Amino acid sequence: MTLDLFKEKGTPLEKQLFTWRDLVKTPVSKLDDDAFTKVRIVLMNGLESEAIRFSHSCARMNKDLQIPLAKVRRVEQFQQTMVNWLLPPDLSPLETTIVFEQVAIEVTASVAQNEPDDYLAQVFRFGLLEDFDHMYRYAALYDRVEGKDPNWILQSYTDIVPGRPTIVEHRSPENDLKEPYDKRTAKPLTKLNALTIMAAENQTHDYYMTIGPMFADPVARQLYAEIAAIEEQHTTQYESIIDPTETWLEKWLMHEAMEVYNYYSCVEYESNPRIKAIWERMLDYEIGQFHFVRNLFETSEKRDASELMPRHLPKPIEFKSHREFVRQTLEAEVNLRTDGVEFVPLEDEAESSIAYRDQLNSEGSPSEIVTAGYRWQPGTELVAAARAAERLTTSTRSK
Amino acid sequence: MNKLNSTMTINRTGAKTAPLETQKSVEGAETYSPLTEGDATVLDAIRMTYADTEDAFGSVPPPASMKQGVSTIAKKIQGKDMTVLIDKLSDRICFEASGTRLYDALISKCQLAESLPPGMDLAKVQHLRDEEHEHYLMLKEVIESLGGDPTALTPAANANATATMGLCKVVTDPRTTVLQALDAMLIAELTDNDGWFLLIDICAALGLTDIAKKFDRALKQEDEHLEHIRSWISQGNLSEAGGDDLGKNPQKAKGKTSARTAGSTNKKAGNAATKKSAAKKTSTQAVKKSAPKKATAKKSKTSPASKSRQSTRKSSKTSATGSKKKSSSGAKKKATAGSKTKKKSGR
Repeated sequence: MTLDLFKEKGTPLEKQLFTWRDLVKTPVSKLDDDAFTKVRIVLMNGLESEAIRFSHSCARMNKDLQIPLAKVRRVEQFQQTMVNWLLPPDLSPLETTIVFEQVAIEVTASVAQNEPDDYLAQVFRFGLLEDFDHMYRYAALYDRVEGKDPNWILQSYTDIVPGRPTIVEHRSPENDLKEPYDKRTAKPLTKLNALTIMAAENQTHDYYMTIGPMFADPVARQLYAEIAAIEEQHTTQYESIIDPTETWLEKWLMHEAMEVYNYYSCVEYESNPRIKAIWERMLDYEIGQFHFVRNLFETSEKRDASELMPRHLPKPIEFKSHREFVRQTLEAEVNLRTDGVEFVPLEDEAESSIAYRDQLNSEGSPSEIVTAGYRWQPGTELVAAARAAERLTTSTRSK
Repeated sequence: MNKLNSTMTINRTGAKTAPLETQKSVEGAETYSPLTEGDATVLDAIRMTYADTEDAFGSVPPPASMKQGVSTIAKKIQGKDMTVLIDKLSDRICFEASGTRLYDALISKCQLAESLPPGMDLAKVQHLRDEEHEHYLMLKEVIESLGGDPTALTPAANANATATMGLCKVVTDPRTTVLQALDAMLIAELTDNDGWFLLIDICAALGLTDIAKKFDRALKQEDEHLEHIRSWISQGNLSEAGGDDLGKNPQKAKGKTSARTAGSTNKKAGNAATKKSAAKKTSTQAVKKSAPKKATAKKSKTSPASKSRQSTRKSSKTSATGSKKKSSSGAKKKATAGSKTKKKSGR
């Protein structure tokens, strides 16, 4: 039986306290901790970041909610700090990028398989294949520019192969928008899934936009520019699947429920006891915040929160390798494209998207260039250096 | 941290951590990639589109008082291009400042460590730190005497600061060991050492002999820094690798000798001969120096500091500036200093 959201009271908001020493804990180990511990840290940082982003937007539109929003937001700020600061300083921006893409692949794969709405499951699978491709491109960058093995970070949980090629992911804006779920009929899990993936993708976009200029090599600078553009498209895609007619308080309550659900999933899967204790604490805090907002929602809107959320949380997100599901999706759907809100075969793609990307790619494609002839293998591409040298000799001779 | 070095537990980065899953990843890569032909050289297609940029990494600020002609030293080198000198002086002063802070961080780490490598003690580390700080202050004075701005960040200084960005991360991370921090310090000291060599050569070429002498003293101190760091790394790793007995006295323990210790011992044994020869060479150069243009040109191609670097890399860094007498005495002094160091290090 999963967690009973209405029975558990969590930590009351006024007791959700921190000190600087408490906030800044010893980070996890890049070398020894499980890849999924880092996946969970990056995901939860993204969800806390979304909590703050939403809270500010809501405050700008709702004078009456500004004080309660500010109170909860202050705690979210510290929660995000505690979580994000668990990343170690030896995890470089490019290595952290690889974790981000592992989040986008494995978490989206879990969500896509559990999603009860067929159309939205298709939306998740569509985005999944694109992030899957990003992993391949960044892995090549890491290998070819720094001479390092992306599997140091991935720990063999995730394939490093092309997905839907990034070069064809560039679509005109109207073809990124999708149909939203209906707030009256959608299952709670659908709402939690949509918020989770939207938050993760929005964070990924913001992260790439922050670190892209930190790279010196023009190849890296262009690749980050290109993939950040897709993450912006993905944010557009995933926010469009959320019913825009939900009230502000309804959205706020769903944000809190989504955080509860994700911390609960982290607790269920965490292998590092020290980090698990943090997830448990954060779960208690989020349950406390859920009830704080639930009271506001029920008082203000005269509705019962159980209209929105079931007593028991859905089955947790599965933090594990979804290799087989991803491969099946790749085989079946790599050639899917979009035409407005519809997913269509390659040949039926909207002309506006083709025209848009033809112009954008007209001076070359960074994602194609960085992976020209790239095939990952343990120990980096240099393991096959002898073969590469042979190829070079052959091609020189043939000239 | 109890141990000086890392422990062996569950490192998950290698392919052999999960061989079955790794095999699946390899099979996946073989099945689905590559989609296109080419190799890593194709990356140049992007790089070349930026290669002809006219925007530089940055520029060197002109020395203010050179324009006004007020400085005696500045007058001495009027007409010569000061760009390289100013750039490299800024590089050095920035590096010395960062070096001082690196030693501060190392001291902090050592104070909290439960043990230190054999031969390493806080007083010595503090001494090295103070010398880095002295070099910083001395450089400030020199740059000001040339009319330069010691607070400016020049391209060479910026390139070096960028190149060594990771050093501070390694030393200040509470999870790194003293030995890992010392590895970072070694990178800093090696860079620093060569930086001083180059600066001495540049000053000698510009005829700034007084400044070169000051720098030569700094180089000698940096040389000792390098020797200490190397020794602590060697002794510390040996003590971790082979037990305390080996660490305390690597030459005696089990009759084994480390490559560096052996090399170092041999080097020291041969030092007297090397230094005599170096002294002879320096004397010859000094004689040639008095000859007209041709010899001067020759000298500028193979300057004393670089010649010293080529011939007796670590053991006899002779004075870069002295005349025949000074060079000889400098070499003799160095030989004496070398034998003293030998006793100190106990090698």
